[in-house]
Amino acid sequence: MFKRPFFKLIKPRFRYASLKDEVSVTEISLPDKAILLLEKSEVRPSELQGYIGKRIKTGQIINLRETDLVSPVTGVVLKISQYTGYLNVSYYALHIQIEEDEIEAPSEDYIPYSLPGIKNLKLLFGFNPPINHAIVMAVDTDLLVTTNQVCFKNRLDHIKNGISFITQRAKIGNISFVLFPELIKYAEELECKYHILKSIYPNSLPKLIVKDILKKHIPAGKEPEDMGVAFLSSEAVANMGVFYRGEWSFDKFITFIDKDYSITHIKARIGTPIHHILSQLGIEIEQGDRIIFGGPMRGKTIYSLDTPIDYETDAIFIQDSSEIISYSDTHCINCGECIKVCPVNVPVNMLVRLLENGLFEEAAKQYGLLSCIECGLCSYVCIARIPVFQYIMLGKYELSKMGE
Amino acid sequence: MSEQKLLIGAHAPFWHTGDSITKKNLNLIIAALPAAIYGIWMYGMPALRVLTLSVGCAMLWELIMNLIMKRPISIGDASAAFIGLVFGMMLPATAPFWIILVGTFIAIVVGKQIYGGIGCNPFNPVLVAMAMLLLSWKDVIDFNAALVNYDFGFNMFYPLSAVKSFGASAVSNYNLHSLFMGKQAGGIGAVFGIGLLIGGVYLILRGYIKWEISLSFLLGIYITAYLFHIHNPEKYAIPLFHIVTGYTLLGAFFLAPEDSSSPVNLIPKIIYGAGAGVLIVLIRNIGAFVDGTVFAILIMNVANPMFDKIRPKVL
Ligand code: SF4
Ligand code: SF4
Repeated sequence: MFKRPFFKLIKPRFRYASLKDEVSVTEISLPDKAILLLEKSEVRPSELQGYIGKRIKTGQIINLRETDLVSPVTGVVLKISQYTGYLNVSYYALHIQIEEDEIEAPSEDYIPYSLPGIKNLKLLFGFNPPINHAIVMAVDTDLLVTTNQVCFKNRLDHIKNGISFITQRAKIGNISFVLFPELIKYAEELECKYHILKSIYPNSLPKLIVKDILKKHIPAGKEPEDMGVAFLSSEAVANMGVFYRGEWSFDKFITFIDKDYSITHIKARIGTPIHHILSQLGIEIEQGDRIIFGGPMRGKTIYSLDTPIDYETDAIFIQDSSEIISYSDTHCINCGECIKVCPVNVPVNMLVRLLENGLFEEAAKQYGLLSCIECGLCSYVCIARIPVFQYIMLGKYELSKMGE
Repeated sequence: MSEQKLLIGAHAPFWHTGDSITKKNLNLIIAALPAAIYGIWMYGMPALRVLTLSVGCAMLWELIMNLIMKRPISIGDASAAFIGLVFGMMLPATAPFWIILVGTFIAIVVGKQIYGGIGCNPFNPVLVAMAMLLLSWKDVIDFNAALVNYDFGFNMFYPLSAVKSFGASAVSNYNLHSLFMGKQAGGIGAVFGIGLLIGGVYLILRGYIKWEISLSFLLGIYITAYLFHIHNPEKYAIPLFHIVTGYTLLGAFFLAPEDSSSPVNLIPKIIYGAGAGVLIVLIRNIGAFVDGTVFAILIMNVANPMFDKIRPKVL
């Protein structure tokens, strides 16, 4: 953990992890049982019930109400349970007894809903307003994580095909890459347009890229997609490339960060439960540790060792119980540290006062709640140890509920 | 479920600077110690008595208020101790017991707790108490009367009273360097300029106070005093004299940057600091009080919420 330095005249500056040497990727074997998550809002339970006891094949497409499930594994559906994730999203969890892969190749004109690295691929097709600029992220959006950098470096051929997929199939002509200076030579190999990013957190967050590199203003509460800009991870583009050649790819690249901050790059099948990865890597979890999907600033803790790898699980970060600093319920003391670090000038000290009292609408109207780009730096520096970022996400969540 | 181990859930971020309000207040106390210890060294037991009583009473009032208001016990965050210490440092070594008891009551209860405790006070609690004393029991903190029995071999006439009564010519009775080194009458912990400066620089380097306020505060004093001085050198003291006397340095590093009652944005911080500096010299040179630090900062406390409306555009 990066503690405050003894002398602290300037605000904290975090560098992103960068790749210096060649990385080797450890392949995680298939587990005995896999778990596939489906958002409840997109399926009816009755649609799924019929599959219990049935055998499904890798690449088999199961049409559901709002989505398709493309099975990443071959096996027999054992049961269906329920799971609740971040921001109260609830899922059905399909438990599958794994058998040896039997692959059904994708048909010519089929577009899947998800590929490893991108949950919502349909974004590129018929989104309103139409996407006219695809920005491929060869950078990662959290500290310590290097998944996208690894995919960019190691999977250039697939990425080339992925670009064809985007131009030919999605008909998006304007593609550019975002990368840190170390990776320029790979971008040159690709002969593509690219933007260079200073490797300082949180520069790589999409909204900041739109603001600082595209020099466009995003209105509060809007996403880059609303302005016709889609952000794609380099991993997603690599997998589009595999798909473009008529094959499936269901392996997710993950940066695994152990308690001692040692890094292992792994590749695991979508649906692999976390306990399987831990046992393959020989890692013991103690009572009271944290398992975080994502990095230290923006990740999400999980509460069950059965939680599976999903399409956008870029990192797994194990935090030792001794490193955990608990939040407090003290008032904001108006020290102004959060004001200094916020990359988009949100008046955080005023914002928390409103959020603590449940005044979400006013917080959005007067104090830029919806302009927050979710970097977490304000919580990191808060001397009163207020869970500022949590309040902000709660505020956004409550507002979105009100809007429904 | 394969195996049940309790994992700790929480919201991001999972890192923290490790800083806390307690650490901050302890650092503030450490930074104030050189000046406080100098006062004890100079006045001996009476000064030690005032300081310990003041810290003790402040913590006691905080505890009592916690119990009455059924709030978590907050003396552990060292905020009350710091308030008590600074309050004591502003008093003469001869301050009577009851003044300390009443003063800390005003600071902790009226200045801080009735608003909801730490972070909620619109004014600097120490200054609320000092203002009350200045208005109601002026004689107790009249340094010339209070310290009449002390003789350390240097000019024991309170420097700011001297220039107030006799004009700039009185400055020649003092040596700026010795004033800065603490050879002057005044509050227990307010006279040792070099000690306060070292403490202040320590706090700035460690990032525990809003340095923009300290700096603009001192500049505000210097420039205003300079303008007065060139306008009428007979009547108005030179700017450095104002910097090294009265509560100036205590104000710059320990009073004006108090978190809750000062702004957080850059431009407001500068306006706030400079404004307080200007007011101090105005009060000293043409106002009714000998030292204007207490009221000047309080006035800026009042205006603070307005200043903080000046802030950069979001996104
Ligand atoms: S998380 Fe905090 S620091 Fe980051 S953009 Fe939002 S308000 Fe600003
Ligand atoms: S860092 Fe925390 S205590 Fe300081 S002003 Fe921001 S919210 Fe308040």
